[in-house]
Amino acid sequence: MNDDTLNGKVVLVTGAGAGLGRSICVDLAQHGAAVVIAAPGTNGAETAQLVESYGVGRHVTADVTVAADLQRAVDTAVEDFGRLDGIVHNATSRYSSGVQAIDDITDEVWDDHVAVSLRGAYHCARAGFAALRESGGRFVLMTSPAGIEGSAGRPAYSAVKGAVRGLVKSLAVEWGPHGVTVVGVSPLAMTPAMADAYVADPLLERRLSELVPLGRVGDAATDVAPVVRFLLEDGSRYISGQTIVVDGGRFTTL
Amino acid sequence: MGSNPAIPTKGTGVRAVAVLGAETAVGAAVVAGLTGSGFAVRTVSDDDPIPGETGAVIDAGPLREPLTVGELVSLSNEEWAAVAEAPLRRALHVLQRAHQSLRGNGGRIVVLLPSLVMTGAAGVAAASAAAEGYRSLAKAAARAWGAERIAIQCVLVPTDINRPGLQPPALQSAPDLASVLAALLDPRLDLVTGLTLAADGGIWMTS
Repeated sequence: MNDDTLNGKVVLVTGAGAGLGRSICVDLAQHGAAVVIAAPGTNGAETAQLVESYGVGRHVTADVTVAADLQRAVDTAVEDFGRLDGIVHNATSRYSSGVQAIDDITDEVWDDHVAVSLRGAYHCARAGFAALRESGGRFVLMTSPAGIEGSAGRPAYSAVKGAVRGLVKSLAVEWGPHGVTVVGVSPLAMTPAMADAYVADPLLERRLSELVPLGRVGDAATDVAPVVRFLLEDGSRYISGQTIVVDGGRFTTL
Repeated sequence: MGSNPAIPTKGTGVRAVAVLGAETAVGAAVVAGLTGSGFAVRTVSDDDPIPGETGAVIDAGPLREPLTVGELVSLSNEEWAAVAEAPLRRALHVLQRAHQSLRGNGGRIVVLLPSLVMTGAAGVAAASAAAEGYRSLAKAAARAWGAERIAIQCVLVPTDINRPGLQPPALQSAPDLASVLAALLDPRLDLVTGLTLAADGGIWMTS
């Protein structure tokens, strides 16, 4: 598969060193986008290698908790490719899959969740707005079922993923007049974080496969990345302010 | 109405409610209204422990100004931290303190959140993050503490935040939020938790 629905577009992806972020980068490149791969560690270079086997990528060592790092990633897009059409904020705390009671949340865990998911979104917005306004671009923020229904075992993760959904709603209203859309994506997908969650809760996989009408947890590359891609394509230009749930029919709620 | 083992309410002789954010206009009205209805209301600051004999905790703190600080990209880092991150951390601490107070006897927690900040408006993105984060954290707590007979609801209340072009509320009578809250403390709502109730006269009706 190598169609070019994103030909000529430039997309920055955070948390791109592994898991869903890597899958998104590869999918975007397969469909013609130039991808700026923002990751704090060396695994971003591995993603870049993969991306370059399909298209064009630039690896930028970037920690989303550092505003200057995001600015450098945006500058790389604009200077190397002449534009920025989309940002996918996928980075999430290394504590995302950890189970912790609300009463036991430590400052270290809370601060990391807030810094990566929430402040990282703010940094993306600050760094990317001018370029996105120029292109009539897209800001896609990865959230989670935990940010919709709450998770008893992962309350800090629930809080920041819910906060991201709040940001999506008002920022969509704020940026709409500038021609920029803002969308959340809530995936249920097999990722390294989900694998960790399975280890922490051995019954989780069975519960999910029973609960999800399609009978399985989604695949990051084939079930979720194509939806993110769609949200960066021209055909989704009228979608904004929503959280798109990609979960095999798990949520059938009001 | 049967007796309720979880919530000390009317007829049991104990109707103790702790209110945080009582200095806000809504918080003050809630204190006055519940007091007038016979509840024993204690106002609690963000720094004080919540009394142990409390049957319910109402948090009006999220209605504190400022909610509007301007477009997200124009915020200073300090403004972002003050309007998005600090209120979210406060939410964690409020729920932890409420749990300390209610554990063992059960009870109810009601979080008051600004309606249009929750549904989206320009100039309030940082506040929207804090408010929706609080709601999500409250749901996490509702799941975790249900076995302890602690129920948690969120109530969306009108503020002066505006979204141009939006229809006016369907109901335009003067809000009596204390009555809404008294209803949420009623033992007949034993089976309700994790609820979000829009007590804003009906602005959005999308759920």
